[in-house]
Amino acid sequence: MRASRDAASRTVLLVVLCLVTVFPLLSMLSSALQPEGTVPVGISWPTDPHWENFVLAWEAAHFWPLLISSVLIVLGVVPLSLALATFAGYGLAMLRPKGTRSWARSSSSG
Amino acid sequence: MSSPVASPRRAARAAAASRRPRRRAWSGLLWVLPAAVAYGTFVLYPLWETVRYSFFDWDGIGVATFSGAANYLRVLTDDELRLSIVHAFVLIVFFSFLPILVALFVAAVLRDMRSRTGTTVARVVLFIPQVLPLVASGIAWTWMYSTTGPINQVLGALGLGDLARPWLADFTTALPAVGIIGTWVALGFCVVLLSAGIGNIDPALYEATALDGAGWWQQFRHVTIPGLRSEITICLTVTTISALSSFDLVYVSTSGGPGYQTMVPAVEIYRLVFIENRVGQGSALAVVLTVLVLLIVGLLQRIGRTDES
Repeated sequence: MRASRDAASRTVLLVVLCLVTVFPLLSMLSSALQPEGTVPVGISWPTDPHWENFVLAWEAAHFWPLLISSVLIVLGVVPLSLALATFAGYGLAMLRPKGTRSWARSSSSG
Repeated sequence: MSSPVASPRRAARAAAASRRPRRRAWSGLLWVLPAAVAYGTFVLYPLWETVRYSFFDWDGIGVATFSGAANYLRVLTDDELRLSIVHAFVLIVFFSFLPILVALFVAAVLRDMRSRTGTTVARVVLFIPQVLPLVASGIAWTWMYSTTGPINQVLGALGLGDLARPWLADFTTALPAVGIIGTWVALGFCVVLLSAGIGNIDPALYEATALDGAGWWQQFRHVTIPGLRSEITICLTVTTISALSSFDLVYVSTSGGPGYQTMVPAVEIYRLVFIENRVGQGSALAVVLTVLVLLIVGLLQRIGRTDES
């Protein structure tokens, strides 16, 4: 009986922790929906959520060009580092040249 | 080797066997070469240049004058520079110890939970901060902590309005406040790693201790924590590095202020090199930070290894 009550209280603690985790995100969302030009007080759901703020932010921040830059970086970095790391991983793990251990250690710290 | 008189065929085989590893070794190095070149150009060379800069007095444009160890002496004697390192160590408590303690508890609770969806939801929710860019987290929390922000609102609602303050601008609370953001971010990583590790602990151990009458806390202390030793070491290593080299969160939320209260080495290096144009001084601090990180990581690895065996 006591054990199950303890389990319940632990679950409640877990739920509280999850709420604490999403709280900052919810508060960011609520302030994102406030009417333009106002400074919201605390966390409160606006009576008429201003979803168009997202469109405005998208345009004001020139989001498309920024996103394209990010995509370019991803397209360059991911295949290249994957290829290099796969080659090196194969070389080190399968063929075990001299100095394998020190090399693996130093490159993982870098 | 086994018989004193080796047959010619056996000798030939032995020679081939001893030659083979050497040929393998060379082709192995060939595979490693591209990564080694990339590592050399993008890690070792800049590192070497940083070490070189750190012995000069240089504004980044003009003539550099050799200044010996003066930059390093200043890291030890200058209050601002020394404080930034002290702050980094304070942040380890928040970025590393706190999330690991909470995550151990969460992982143990998740293990006991019957409902599969419950554990999945909890794990996903706690992992969300890891997925966000640190800059976004910093902005979300800056708003949380602001004078009219949600934290003070909640305090007011609970009748604790006296405690309300601009958390990030208050001299005593700024550093812990930044630290809590780090705890919030690191928790998800630790939970996922530790709860994966807990799955590898032999369930028989839990059964046996339960039959012997061990309560939840005793199981937690004597089965879970020892069973997670290597996972805890990984968590400690990764989060400690993130604490010592923290930049994004601090730069976005306080950029070192108020005064010097939350200045950390990474932000200080950035300021020295790119704003105050003291490239040599910034490089010296960067070298000190790198050495500190390597020392601590080495130490943690050693602790983890000896305890494991």
